[in-house]
Amino acid sequence: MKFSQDIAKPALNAHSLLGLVASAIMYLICLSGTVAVFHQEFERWEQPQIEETDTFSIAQLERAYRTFDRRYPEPTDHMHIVFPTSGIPRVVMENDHVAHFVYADGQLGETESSDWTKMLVDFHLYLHLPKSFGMILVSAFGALLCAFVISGLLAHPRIIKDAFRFRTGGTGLQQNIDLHNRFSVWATPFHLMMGVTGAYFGLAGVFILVISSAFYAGDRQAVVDQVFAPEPSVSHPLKTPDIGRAIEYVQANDPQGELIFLTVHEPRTEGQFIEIYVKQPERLIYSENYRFDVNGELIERVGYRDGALGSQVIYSLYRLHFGDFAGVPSKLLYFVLGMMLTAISATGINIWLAKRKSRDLLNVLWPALVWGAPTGLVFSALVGLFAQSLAVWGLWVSIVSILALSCRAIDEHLLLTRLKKALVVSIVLLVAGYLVVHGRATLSLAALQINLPLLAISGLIWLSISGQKRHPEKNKENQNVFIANENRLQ
Amino acid sequence: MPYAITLAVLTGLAGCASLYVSWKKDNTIAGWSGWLMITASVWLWVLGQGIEYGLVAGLSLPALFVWLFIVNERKVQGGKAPHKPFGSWRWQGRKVLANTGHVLFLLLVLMLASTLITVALVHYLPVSEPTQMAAGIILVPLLWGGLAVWYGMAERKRGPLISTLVGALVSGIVLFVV
Repeated sequence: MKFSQDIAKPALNAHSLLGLVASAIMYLICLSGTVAVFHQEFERWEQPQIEETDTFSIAQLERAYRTFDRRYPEPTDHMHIVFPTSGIPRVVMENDHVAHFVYADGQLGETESSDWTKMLVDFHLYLHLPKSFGMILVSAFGALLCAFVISGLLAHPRIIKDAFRFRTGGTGLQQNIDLHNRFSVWATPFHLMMGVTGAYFGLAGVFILVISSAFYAGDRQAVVDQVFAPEPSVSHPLKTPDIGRAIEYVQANDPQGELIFLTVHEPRTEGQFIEIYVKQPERLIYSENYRFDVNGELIERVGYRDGALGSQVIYSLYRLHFGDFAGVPSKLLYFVLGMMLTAISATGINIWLAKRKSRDLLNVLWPALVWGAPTGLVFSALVGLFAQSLAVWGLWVSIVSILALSCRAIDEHLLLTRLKKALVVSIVLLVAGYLVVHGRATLSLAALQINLPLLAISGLIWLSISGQKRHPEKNKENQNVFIANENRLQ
Repeated sequence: MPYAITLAVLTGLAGCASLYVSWKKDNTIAGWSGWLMITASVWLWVLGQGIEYGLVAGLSLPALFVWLFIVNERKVQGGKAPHKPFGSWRWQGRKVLANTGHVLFLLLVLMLASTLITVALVHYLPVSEPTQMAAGIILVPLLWGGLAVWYGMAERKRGPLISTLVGALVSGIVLFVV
């Protein structure tokens, strides 16, 4: 059996088929997911003026809870306190409808408002489609990512011979092939992790539906309760929950853990109870959970950290997928690997386009999408500075506009340069707009940790454009590919 | 172990360097040494950060380390690109229909089939229900991916299509009838 004929060629056909079906959406999912790794940093960036702290006091939280409870008496299923050790060094008091930052003395501060970050995360989770359908679709691409990995490895008979190969320049075809293959082969473990964990979030619903129909007479909650501990049934006279006592218990009995948030379930009812979520050191499980009655007496430690293996695995999928487990180092690792995966999606179609015998509208639409999507994200952030609710419109209007305008392009090389320039200009405008809107708060850590890297990225892109201008002879050869056929002009 | 992380990073780098030398000089011993060192670095990551963080870091970082050596192999190419004619799109109804069929199979049929087959399979695993579910959650995308590759590789799509549907049907019978 000749590997290349019997396996590699059909595998390459499969890989190409999958690529043509999936690449555009895969690219958007990878790009948005990579940027969303820093969703907590973006939340802070949206409101840089908020005072930040790593510490809190129980008196502060108790006062905040009582004040919030009095100010918002309308019914709500939950009240939450988000601790400054959650990954965002701010204290937040919220219910299901509104959230306030909390001052050190327990007084309620500004309302929390991070619409752009929410839009970014929703873009990744649902592609802004109706949620039930969108999440299933996005998760399906997690499964397709697994298919890409399998077919890609099978389609690569020179996987060892080419392991460190890196050609640049020329027509760009070999450069795209080498980037595509080097990025994808070496990061195979990461890609499989993303595929499997990414598939979980949307497919869990389908999975539960099948299991509940087959074994639980359609009772989906019964299936969920096998993995996630069911809520306790309690009944107490109405009173303000003793959150201080509950927090003290956790601090004394789980000193290595980091408090994420506290939830009062069914507040102002006889069945209300307190649940505290505590991140565990060196563990991927989202949290260990402690449940208390309204008097702050422990009901149970749920047991995610040492319970059933299956529950631990499933409860770890969130942190494993989003890279939110070891602070900034894990986020940086995921960002770099995520950008590689995004580049793989882009270079895959670049390769297919370059290998075609002819050119058509796809040759301009694809680079327009690749560079238009990040430009759309930046533009939406700029719009969001002045009109938060319009951020999602800013994203899609700019992407569609860039695609539409690119249809008129006759020189792909020139188009690419213009797209890159548009991205650079968008970033500069965003930072300038940010300075206008936020003034001195632009110098806060929350602002600088996003704005400086953005400016650095725009600088790198600008350098790459300038680098191309400094080598016009090389570019002229390449432009032969991209100059429009006379037939098109006629 | 206080220096475990530093040693893990250094061992991982050394492992990638050894793989590079093996590739460059066609040296089998360097190759085996490289893989051994990368395995050792994963072990050191686990020692320093626990098994969960350690495995993620140890398995992911080589993808970054190798670029120190890949950039060393950078070769700038010259050459003139061939001129390609610019064509306009033609509506090809048959191709659109075929591609729609591919999309429906890959996204919808395989989702349902892989879920049914997986649930039927894991139900018989001799482990607790949460562990069955966890195994299923991991298996579904892998089975889905495998079936998608089989479908894509087949010259005649009928085989994988029928086999997938039969597998789903049998699983459905096992789950809902038997």
